[in-house]
Amino acid sequence: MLTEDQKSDQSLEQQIESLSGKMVDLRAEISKAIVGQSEVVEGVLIALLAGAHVLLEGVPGVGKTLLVRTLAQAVSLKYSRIQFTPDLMPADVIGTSVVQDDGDGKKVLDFQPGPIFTNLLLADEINRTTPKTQSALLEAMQEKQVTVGHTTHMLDEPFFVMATQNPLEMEGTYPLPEAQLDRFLFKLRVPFPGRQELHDILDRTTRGAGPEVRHVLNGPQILEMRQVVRMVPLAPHVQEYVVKLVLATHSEDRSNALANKYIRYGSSPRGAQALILGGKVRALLSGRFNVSLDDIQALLKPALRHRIILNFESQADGRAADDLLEEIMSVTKKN
Amino acid sequence: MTRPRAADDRAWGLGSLTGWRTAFIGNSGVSREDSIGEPNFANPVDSSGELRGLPGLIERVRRRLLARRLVFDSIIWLNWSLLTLIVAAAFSRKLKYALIAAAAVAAVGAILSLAREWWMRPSAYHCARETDRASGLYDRLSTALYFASKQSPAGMPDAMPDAMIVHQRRDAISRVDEVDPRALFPVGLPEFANRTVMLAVLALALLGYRLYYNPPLGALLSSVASSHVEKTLLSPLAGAVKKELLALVDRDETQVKEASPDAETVPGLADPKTADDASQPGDKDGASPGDSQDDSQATAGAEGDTGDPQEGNQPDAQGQEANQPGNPSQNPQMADPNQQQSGQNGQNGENSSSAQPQTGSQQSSGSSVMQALKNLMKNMTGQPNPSDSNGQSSSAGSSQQPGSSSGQGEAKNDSPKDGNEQKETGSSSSSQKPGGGAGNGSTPVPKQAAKDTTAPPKNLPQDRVNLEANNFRQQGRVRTTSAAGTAQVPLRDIKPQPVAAIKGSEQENIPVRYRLYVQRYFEHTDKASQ
Repeated sequence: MLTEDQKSDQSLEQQIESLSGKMVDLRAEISKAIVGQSEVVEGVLIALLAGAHVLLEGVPGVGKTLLVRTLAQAVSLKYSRIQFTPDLMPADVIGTSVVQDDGDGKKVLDFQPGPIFTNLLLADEINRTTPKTQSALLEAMQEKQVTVGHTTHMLDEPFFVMATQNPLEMEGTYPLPEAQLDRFLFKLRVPFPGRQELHDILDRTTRGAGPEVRHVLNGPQILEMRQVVRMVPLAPHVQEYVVKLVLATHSEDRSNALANKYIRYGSSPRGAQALILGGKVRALLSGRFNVSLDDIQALLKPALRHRIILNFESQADGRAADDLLEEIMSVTKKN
Repeated sequence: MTRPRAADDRAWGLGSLTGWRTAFIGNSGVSREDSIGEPNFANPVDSSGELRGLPGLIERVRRRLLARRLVFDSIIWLNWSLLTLIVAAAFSRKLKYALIAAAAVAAVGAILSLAREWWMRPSAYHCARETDRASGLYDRLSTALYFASKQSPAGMPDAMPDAMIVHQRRDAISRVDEVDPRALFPVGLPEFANRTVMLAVLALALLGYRLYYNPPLGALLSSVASSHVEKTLLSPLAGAVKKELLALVDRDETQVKEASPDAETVPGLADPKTADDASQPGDKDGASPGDSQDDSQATAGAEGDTGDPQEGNQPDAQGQEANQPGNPSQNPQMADPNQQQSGQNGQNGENSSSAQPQTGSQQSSGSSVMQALKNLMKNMTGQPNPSDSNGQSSSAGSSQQPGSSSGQGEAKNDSPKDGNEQKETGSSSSSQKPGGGAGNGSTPVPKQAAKDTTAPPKNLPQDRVNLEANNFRQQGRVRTTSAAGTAQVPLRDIKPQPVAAIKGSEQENIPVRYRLYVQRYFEHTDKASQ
């Protein structure tokens, strides 16, 4: 006869084993369509299991949209795509109330949900729309709800936003405000594929039909995994390391010469949350049940690169956020 | 990312500077667990009973860490001990003192090392972290150890976290057997031990040298003292110093001599006769050396009572046998000024005429000229001639006392009178004399004599080095008093200077390294607007 603890123990063990197996299958399915980009794929999966959103930045044609579409196919979730343009209005994103006949000759306002009412939302070229429309996503991304008029509509879970933006063509764009950027768990840079990867891309896309991606995960399983992820234990010295890293990005601390010189404003507490949550998912994906310092270091750049605001000096000296984070990581002691 | 090489990390032939610093100071990275988040429990608590071999592993790691630190600190203190031995053996005259000093440093180091190790003993959590770091276990052991000591981690639900923690613990325990503390934490000599060997070799060599020879530094100094360097460089310096010392001695002697007529006012020094003489008005104002000479004739017995042979001989030389050379004195250097003074009194103009009646024997003018020439030659050659101060002092006093020469020669009782004449003829003369204030009024003599010693000597010879530098090249400090006032600044018309403007931006106001950036920015704006 099993006790309650033993039952929960077995249940957790099964969940963890199931999680590990599902993640392996999900990666395999994604790799059918996406060549290489292992770090980007891992970042997307971590953000999916952490219950947060991800911003993909890369030049056109490197597979950003394909990655999101493939993921949507693999997890069998509702998928929507919004192509952000300068003339896009908030109502085009979240929906609007239209006057309709209720059948009794009365006219009533009926809410027509916008494309945001989905599980997996691809906000393509999000920086091409106006800040007004960009701000329409704020409430949805953080509170998982949309308010139209006096009515608040809850979004379906899981709700996962993947936004893309092009780093080259900056004319006619509206850079995302800090509040919008802070809502993304990671900002992933999609690199240009290498020589061998380019050969593989050509072989897969120019011969015959495209790969067929099967469903390996569904919404409830993702939600279950999100709960398991939060149970991963975290040692105090790892948490202390995260706090040190986040504080090192702030120029208020006069002892931090690097931040004083190049950083106008440091990371928000969401940055620390992103590091720890991402670290927990990464630990589970690596077959561990505890967060390690290496997890934190591996996720430092994607979690904080869009959360620090550089000053004019850093732009003039050509210092990118990744360089500064690398230096901060090298000078911050691991206790 | 490669760590930049430290500036002081360069090798100087005997190893890097950082290595030597580490050899004597140690590594500051070893510190007590003072971080905020790190728990500081001494021993692992196996609350669940599932830690199995983890506490034993942690204990073995802790012992090895302690041993490593102890060896590290011991080597550092050994270095200090060897350094003490080297320095002491190089300087001390007795070798046993060097050995005792080195042994004392070693003993103190051993005590401090043990105390430090006890105070900074690593906690079990710290040992687990070190094991994780060394074995690449990704913080498994430290996490398991931390949550084993806590029944219910804060902020977590009750049932599921325990299951997750149990999973984590099992995962960590399963890897304990893979850890080999002996391989991960070898107890051996640190990297800077080769410097300790160098110090030991140097110390042994020095000890061997000391067993057969003198202290190295003493031998070096003795060889330098007899070398050409000493003769060319150090001798003139030593001569100048010696000259200064002699001059100081002469000045003090002169002041004592000038103050001697009034010294009778000091209780216990004066007999009734001299005390009566000192109470005379002439003595109160009697400031000239000439007067002091006259007074010294009267108080010769009293000065002789003081026991100072110099002062005891002085009245005899001046008042009775001034021209007798080689008046016996205990200190030859001190006796020489007296002889010189007596000779000069017989040579210099009025002084010579005043000296002749004192001695009672006529000296030829030729011999006086010869003596003057000898003195001049001595002054030119720079030989110490401390008697010049006395001679000038006495001559100055004599020259400012017209007619005193006859008085000096005629009668001893005229000296008080001369003092009165001195006061009447010119008050400025008394202020110019170093001993002019000696015995003034009822002022105690020793106090006045002490004041005179601080006065700047005005009778220095030409080759005397002034104590106060005149051409000291440093910014002078002038004490001023602040006062209210107005400052007028001339105004002039200043036209604004034309500055080059590129795309509306003045280049003068833009730092050089930003100009290209700003230029590109405005060009970019122009293209966008077009």
